[in-house]
Amino acid sequence: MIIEQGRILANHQILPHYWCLDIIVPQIAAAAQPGQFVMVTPSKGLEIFLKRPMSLNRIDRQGGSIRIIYKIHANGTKAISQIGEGEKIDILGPLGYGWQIEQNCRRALLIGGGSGVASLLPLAIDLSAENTKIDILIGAASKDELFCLDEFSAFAEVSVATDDGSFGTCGLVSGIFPVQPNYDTVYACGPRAMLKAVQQWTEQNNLPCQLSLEEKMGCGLGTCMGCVCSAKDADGNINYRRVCHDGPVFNSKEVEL
Amino acid sequence: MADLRVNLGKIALKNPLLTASGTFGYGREFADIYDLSLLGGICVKGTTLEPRLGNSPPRIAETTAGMLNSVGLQNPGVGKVIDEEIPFLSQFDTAIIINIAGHSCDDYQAVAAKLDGVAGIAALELNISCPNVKQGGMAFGVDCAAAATIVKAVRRQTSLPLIVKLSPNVTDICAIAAAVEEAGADAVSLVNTFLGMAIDIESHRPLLANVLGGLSGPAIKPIALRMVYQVAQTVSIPVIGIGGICTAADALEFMIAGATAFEIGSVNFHNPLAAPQIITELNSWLDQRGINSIRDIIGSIKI
Repeated sequence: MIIEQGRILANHQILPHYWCLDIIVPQIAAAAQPGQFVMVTPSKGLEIFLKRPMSLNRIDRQGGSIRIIYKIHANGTKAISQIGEGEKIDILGPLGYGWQIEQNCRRALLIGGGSGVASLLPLAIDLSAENTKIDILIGAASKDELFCLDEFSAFAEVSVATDDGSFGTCGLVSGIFPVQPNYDTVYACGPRAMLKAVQQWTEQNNLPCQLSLEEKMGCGLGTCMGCVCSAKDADGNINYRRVCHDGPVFNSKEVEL
Repeated sequence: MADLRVNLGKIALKNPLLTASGTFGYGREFADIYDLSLLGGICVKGTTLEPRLGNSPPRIAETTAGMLNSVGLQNPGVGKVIDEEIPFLSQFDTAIIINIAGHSCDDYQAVAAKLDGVAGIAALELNISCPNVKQGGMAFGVDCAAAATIVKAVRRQTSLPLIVKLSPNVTDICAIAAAVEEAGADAVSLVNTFLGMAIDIESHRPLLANVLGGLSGPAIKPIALRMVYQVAQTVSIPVIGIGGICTAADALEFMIAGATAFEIGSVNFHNPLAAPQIITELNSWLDQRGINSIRDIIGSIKI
């Protein structure tokens, strides 16, 4: 875990609700793994008090930078969108337990919904380097919420579902789950309802699955116990695990959604 | 270099900065960031007799210049804290203060009894002010007689110095402070969080699953400072100031108001380097003014 003052390389709007942020943080970029996240300080003052957890969309180890694609929700992300090129902000990272790439993973299915699609790109890049065959299913509200399609197409077979039918199949991403799936691992990141559908579907089809959870966080370090999710231990006992520290990526069998 | 040492009664601190319970875990995460021996002391996460699962999520919500939390004392229980956490913390040259909590007077007594004689503990901080557990916790801290009863009961179980952490959710915090002093407390720490809430206007639902939570952060600082000032005027035992301290200037306000030491809490989330930065700033503030000892600041308010 590193605290680094990052310099903003670019911070611009890419879609009606989405922004793309590139930050020079050489130490964090060198250490980051796919599926990990950073805590971004929205402003220098105390009014917006907590840092915001943000997943990594691109890890450029040679260039010493990271890319974050984020959706504007409320005042914190709005403040982040107003940080200008060349400005410096505190970045804490890389944090958490990321995607795990098993040996001999020949076929992988990646499922992303909404802003959760962002963290699948570094995973796809690393899987592709292992010669894994990748299929990607992307769900979004409309074509105005789709990003990274071209990047994914370079590594994978991409299928899209939109709620309003403005791109790809009309409906939820669960409507385009393969009928006879044959994958070594399924990876999913997106809204809770989507993750729940993925969890049930992978359970029914007996597919190993990793889920990346989103939760509001206080510290991002594992200290405040604010971002917990319900989980089962090896003996089947229920406990609360920290999304920031024990996750954000969990084995699908462990977590109760 | 100014002299930052202070004495909390029998507890000698290398400097007046303590990290507040619930914002620092058992120190492990912050030990990766800086040397914990820099700290005056560490108040560990509220520890109960049995392990506690804690409250359902969502447990935190940001509010203007602060945050609400309703963690509900998730902790591994006193046995595990003795076996695993205190030995880890003992490697650092800092005062280890164990914050203890419970549902009943018997719970508090049992935790204190288990910790008595355990090597490496500087003091106990009695949490009679947690707003986030349904029974116990704050119930003991809002009534003078109940607060005194529990302090007397725990006092009998331990030879360690006893700090009592007070709730601000009371009509007269001075009366509670006087009652726990009379009952045998060696120091008081104040304030714990203010009971608050936040609502999502689209869903009409509270942002916390527990509906209510404790407000902390700079938003509460002026009220906390007022309470510390009033309590310092009332009791003769040392007072530890807590509530929204983010900078050395904030800490100095509490000390001028009468606090012998102070705890920093939520700022550890806002800026994980806050503790070492505040210690450095305190030093330079005193040096720039030619003040040799921080003890000269305590209670130096001019009215």
